[in-house]
Amino acid sequence: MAEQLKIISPLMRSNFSGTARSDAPGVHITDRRGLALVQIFARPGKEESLVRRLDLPMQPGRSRAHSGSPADYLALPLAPKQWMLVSEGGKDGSFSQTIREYIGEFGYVSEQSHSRAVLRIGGTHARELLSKGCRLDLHPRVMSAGACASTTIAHVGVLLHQVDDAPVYDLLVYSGFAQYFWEWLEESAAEFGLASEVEII
Amino acid sequence: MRTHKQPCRLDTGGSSIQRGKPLRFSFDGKSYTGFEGDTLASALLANGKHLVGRSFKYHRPRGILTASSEEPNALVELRKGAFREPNTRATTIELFEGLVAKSQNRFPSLAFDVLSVNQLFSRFMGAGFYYKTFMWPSSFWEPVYEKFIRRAAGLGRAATLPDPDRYEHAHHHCDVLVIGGGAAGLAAALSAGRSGARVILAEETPRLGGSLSRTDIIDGAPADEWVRNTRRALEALPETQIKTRFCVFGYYDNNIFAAIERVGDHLAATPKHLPRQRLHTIRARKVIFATGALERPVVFDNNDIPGVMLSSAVRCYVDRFAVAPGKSVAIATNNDDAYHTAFALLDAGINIPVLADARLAPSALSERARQLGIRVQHAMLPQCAHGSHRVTALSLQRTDGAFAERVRCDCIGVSGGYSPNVSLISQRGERPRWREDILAFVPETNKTEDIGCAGACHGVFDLNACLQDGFDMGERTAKELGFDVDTQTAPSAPSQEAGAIHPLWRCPGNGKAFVDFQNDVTADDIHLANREGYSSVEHLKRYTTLGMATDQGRTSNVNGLAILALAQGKSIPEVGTTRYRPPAVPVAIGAFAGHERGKNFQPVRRTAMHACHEKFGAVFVEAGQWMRPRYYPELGENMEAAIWREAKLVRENVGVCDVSTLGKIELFGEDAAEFLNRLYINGWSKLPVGKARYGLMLREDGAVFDDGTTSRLGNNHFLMTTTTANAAAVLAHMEKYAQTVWRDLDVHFCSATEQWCGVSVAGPLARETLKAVFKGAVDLSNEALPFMGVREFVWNGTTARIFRISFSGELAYEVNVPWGYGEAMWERIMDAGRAFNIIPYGTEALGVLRIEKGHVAGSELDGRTTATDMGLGSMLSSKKQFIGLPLSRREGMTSPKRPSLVGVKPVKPKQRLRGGAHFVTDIAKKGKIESLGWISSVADSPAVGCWIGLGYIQGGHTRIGEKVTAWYPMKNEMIEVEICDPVFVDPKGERLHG
Repeated sequence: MAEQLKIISPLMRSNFSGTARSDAPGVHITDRRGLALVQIFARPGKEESLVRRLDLPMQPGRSRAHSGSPADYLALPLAPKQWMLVSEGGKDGSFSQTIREYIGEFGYVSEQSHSRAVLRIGGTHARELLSKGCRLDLHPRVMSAGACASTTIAHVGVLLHQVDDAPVYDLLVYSGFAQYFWEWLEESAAEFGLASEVEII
Repeated sequence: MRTHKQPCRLDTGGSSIQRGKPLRFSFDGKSYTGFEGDTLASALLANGKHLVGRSFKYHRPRGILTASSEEPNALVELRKGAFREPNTRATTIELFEGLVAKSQNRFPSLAFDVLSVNQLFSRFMGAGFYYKTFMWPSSFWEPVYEKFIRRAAGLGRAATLPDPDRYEHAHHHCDVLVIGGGAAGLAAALSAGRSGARVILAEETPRLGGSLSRTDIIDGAPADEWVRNTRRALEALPETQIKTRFCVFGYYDNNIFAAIERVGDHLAATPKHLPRQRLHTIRARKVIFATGALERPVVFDNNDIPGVMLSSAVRCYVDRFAVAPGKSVAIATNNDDAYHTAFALLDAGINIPVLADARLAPSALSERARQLGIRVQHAMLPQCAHGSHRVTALSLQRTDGAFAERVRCDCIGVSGGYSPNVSLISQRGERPRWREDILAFVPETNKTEDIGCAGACHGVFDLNACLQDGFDMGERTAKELGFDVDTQTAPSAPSQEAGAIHPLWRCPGNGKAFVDFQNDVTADDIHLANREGYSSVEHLKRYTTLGMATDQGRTSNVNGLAILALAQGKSIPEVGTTRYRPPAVPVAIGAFAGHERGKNFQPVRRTAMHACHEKFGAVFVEAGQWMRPRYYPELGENMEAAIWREAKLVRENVGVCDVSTLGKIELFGEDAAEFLNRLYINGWSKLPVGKARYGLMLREDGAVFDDGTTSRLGNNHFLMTTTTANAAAVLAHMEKYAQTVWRDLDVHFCSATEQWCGVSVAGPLARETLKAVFKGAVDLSNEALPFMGVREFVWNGTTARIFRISFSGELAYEVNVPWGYGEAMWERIMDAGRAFNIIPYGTEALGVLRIEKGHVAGSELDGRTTATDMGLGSMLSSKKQFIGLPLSRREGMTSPKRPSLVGVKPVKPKQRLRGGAHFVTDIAKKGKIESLGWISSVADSPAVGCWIGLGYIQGGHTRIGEKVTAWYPMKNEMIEVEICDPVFVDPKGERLHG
């Protein structure tokens, strides 16, 4: 009988949960543990088939949410013929397996669920907080819900996705940098008041 | 609260101060009282303190010249201890309760300064004094002269403790950036903002309104009221931001600006949750400069005695701060503006003994002044100020230099005209243009369409014209950006007839007439430099140091240029200006560093097992951004002993090492093998699934770039590993070729470095240990998993990969599991290995083991070496093309004289080897030292029992058995070493294949 192995997330060994508290927080940060991530690539000549098969966004910098078969996921364009799929559930490898089987010869799948921490940033001062490190123009006239971009914040590579127009953002950060990045967020958000929580799927 | 009387505070007025809020502060240890809203300068003047510092070179007493950030004189040390900041301008320091400041450049006290004897020798200390004096002998340059010059030249003392303040950065984007919150800037922000454009209005001081004075009327109301209303109107615009205490200091290509925001400087202490200062980067589609104009001092003898002030500063202190800068204020001017100062003084009941106007004919304002009873003297210039620590009198002369009269006064307001503040806009490289009608440089803006100017900064001085100009510019800019602009009327002010300005560059005299106050440059220095051949303005600047102080010569440049032009008989535009560079105002180094200092100097990258290493007491080492365990000392063990023990026990039993930091790149595609063929020097097409292979790649120039093992996980699926240091560079290298050169290949790849974490389990008991961990989940037998074999398997529900590869030369496995299972894997391996005396080992022991085995690493892949140099020439495939092949065949790359890889050990076994030591020829024979090569890596080897090393030597293998000298110049050590085979341990590979 196989025993369950303990799984840890990149922020579990930091002071993430519990230390940052404020009565009237201007920023909410959620550590979204348990998301499945896969990076997919279209084979030469199969891009259109793959896009149709998986209902992928074609416009650079715009995400698309898909629900139904083969699974519910959010697709973020990364580069020409490259996407990141984000799914709530299936981090054990089952989501990547589903996608791999579903797309067949149209493309290739790299399991990336463990490679990144996903931090959701919201609250009245979310945009102001990010502007302390993010060089992109996050203004609503430029970026709206569904916008996504690869950028650098505080010298850390970040895949940024705007979840809604509140605005709320999801930041995908490489696991090795997650704790450093969190410490930068914590220090930068101090003036707004900060609340942090963990989301487990 | 006990407050002190402020002897020079006027009973009424003062739009900036709050009389109900007295604040105590101390200057040079003595306590004073000021009011909230004061600057340190206005508070000192309110207390009758004019003498606030000593000058840079001659240690002359100096006072407060200006009321704003271009102040050259009133530089003080602010705060105490680690917070101490030298050269802070008293005119920009906002007063707070308990402020502590000290004067600079004096010993033992401000009133009695020993080095002021420099004044006696001042005739010998002209331009170039230091260059001329401290020339010979050259052996004195560093030990004697430099120390002396540094001591004599320093202004202020920097704190020696680490900066305790916090700084941060921020980024902004806007449609229109308006720089300057005076009348023109406010009008521009208003019209641009109303269009719905995203506007940032940046104002350096805490308040808006710029140089508007108490008596100005806008839209029929006092100017202050208009400023308040305008501020409210701007605040109501959702896309307009007003930034105060926000100084734009740098202008870079593509309308990128840098600004410094003083968040906590006006507070006694910055609250913990805030930074002291913020460095902002602003990307603006269009910019409107409304930076105003700066008044020029007048150059006459002794024009630096405390009490000599700019006329506009006198007015500002009277109007805004209700401070009387003197009981009797003489005025000297060459233009109309100083008359407004006279009127303000008159209003405040301050005596004006004379208003000397250099102009020959009266203007409308001078007539008005006469009617008000002011003694106006035309065609009259200042000749000499009298007094030592404070002005006591002013001598006047006629335009022909004849003495006219001596007037008793305790303050002199001077105005030499206004120079548009072009320092920021000129940073883009375009030299400003001279306008003879206003005797000033104005920015050249017609060549580019993304910048505009409004108001005094391009020579529009009349208030009504400024308002109209700013308003129009804001509207036009918004329109150009495609915003709808409703036609509205600009704010207006009563127009005033402006009198002409009369050139007044150097009033006749033989004494010290200062041009650059901060660097103590006089008019005579400029003449001297010119006589000595420093006729170019750029040479003049460097030779005399004119304009090179922290104020960047904002009060001195134009006067200096004019004096040089006169000396050369040229016009001012012919002489030209020097270049303008950022920062326009001094900026603390800490602000540039922002968050990136100390432990945050660069991002810290941790592996999944970081907490496990901490638990084992690991000492970490930075490998790039990664934190890697260097060694795990046991109680009382020093580093050398720990490394030795770890290396020894791995070969005896089993050890585990975190290798997660190796770069991992996952490749897919039908052409992935072909892609690898082109990247690596060796072949990949025939690598079977389930096997790994060592690969070496070259740079285009033929030198070795990186190495590592790459495994074939499926027909079209590979996993490449790179060295920790080169992971990002290799990925970028691959992207470049895949995206630009070989676009036809079906190959795709991405980083998998953080998806997987890895450990190396090495040692004779490695297999037994892992058997106990995986309990049959994977067959570890030599048959099922031979050397260089790779298996993917499921372990307790998770995918795991095992690679039988070895860096140490021992029986070894690398195990990868997804990041989140790193701790679980580490703990299971340590638990299972306890029976086999398992130990964790760090990068140092890893280094010892690989040197013992003769494996190359970073020190051997130093960017200069070839595959053949490393003894890996046999890997070079002759059947294919690959990156670096053509240039690797260059003559110099294939020369038999190139040093190649060997092992090395000391002839006397107790002697220590040094990395970096050079193999040298017998000095006695040749008479000079000639290098044959060098030692690249060394280790104190438990397996060999002495120090061993790897190195490169001419002749390489042919020298095995030879004894040569290894010279380490850093410690001047020379020891005899023997050249040997680089593989010290298990040359046949029996352990590896066991």
